[in-house]
Amino acid sequence: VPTAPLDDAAPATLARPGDQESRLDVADRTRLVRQALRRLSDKEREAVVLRDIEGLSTAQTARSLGCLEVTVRSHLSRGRLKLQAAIELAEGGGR
Amino acid sequence: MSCGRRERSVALWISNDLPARRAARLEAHLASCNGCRALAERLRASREEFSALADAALDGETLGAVRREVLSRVRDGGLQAAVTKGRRAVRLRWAAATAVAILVIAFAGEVGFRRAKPADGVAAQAGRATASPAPGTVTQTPPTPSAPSVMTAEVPARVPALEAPPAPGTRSRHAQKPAAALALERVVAAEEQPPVIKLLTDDPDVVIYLVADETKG
Repeated sequence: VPTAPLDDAAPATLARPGDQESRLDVADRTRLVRQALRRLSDKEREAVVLRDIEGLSTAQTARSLGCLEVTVRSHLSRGRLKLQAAIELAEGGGR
Repeated sequence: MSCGRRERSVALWISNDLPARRAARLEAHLASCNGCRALAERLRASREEFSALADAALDGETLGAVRREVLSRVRDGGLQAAVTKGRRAVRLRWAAATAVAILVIAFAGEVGFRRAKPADGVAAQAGRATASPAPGTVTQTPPTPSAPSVMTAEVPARVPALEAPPAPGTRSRHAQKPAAALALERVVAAEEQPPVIKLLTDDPDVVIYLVADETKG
């Protein structure tokens, strides 16, 4: 039976002490972002979600929302700033 | 602190959504503004985090709601586009039918005008040959090779003796015909009938006709 020393094992197969903490952090961040998204207007939320989370281009976002790209940019810039402000407020005054 | 009026530009600049000229101006500003540079870094970090979170838990409630909303709008947009397309097709058909109708009318008018034009030409010639004199005057027509020189004021279409003068206040039969037809009749009558002298008097109801009979000398 082939054997290998523990030091040579792939890092992914090893239990990492910070995994549990990392998962909690992801859950917290997700909740925080979700709450911040709720503070945006419908248009701003749709633009931010499609562009920044779903990864669509500005043109694709405009087509999906049935509006002009310049309108998407307007919603996007306002939405990003509001979202950032909400996240930083929730975090207690910036990262 | 970042510059308030540039925050929205920074928010677009992090994803290359800013037009080239505005991006160049902003980059020049970022080189000298710590606040705007810090904002850009925070926004960029948040954006990267959002895309990482997309695969985690955001695709549950929030993404589902947005997807449903967007998909419903896309479906409505598709239906609206189909309706608009249908209306546009109907408008195009009407426009084509109107254009064809205008062409047909214009063609018919052109054909009618060409048919009427030769008669007008004859009428113009006849009009020059048979200018109406003033009442009480007698004019002399120039001599022609086929007809003897006679004193005449007008060559009537028919022998005027057979025609009753129009009653006062009523229009004669000639007056009801088109001018071109009258002129043509006069030209034909001038060639077929003997020369007639029509004497007009001051009284419009009294006209004296003299028929020249060449057979009796």
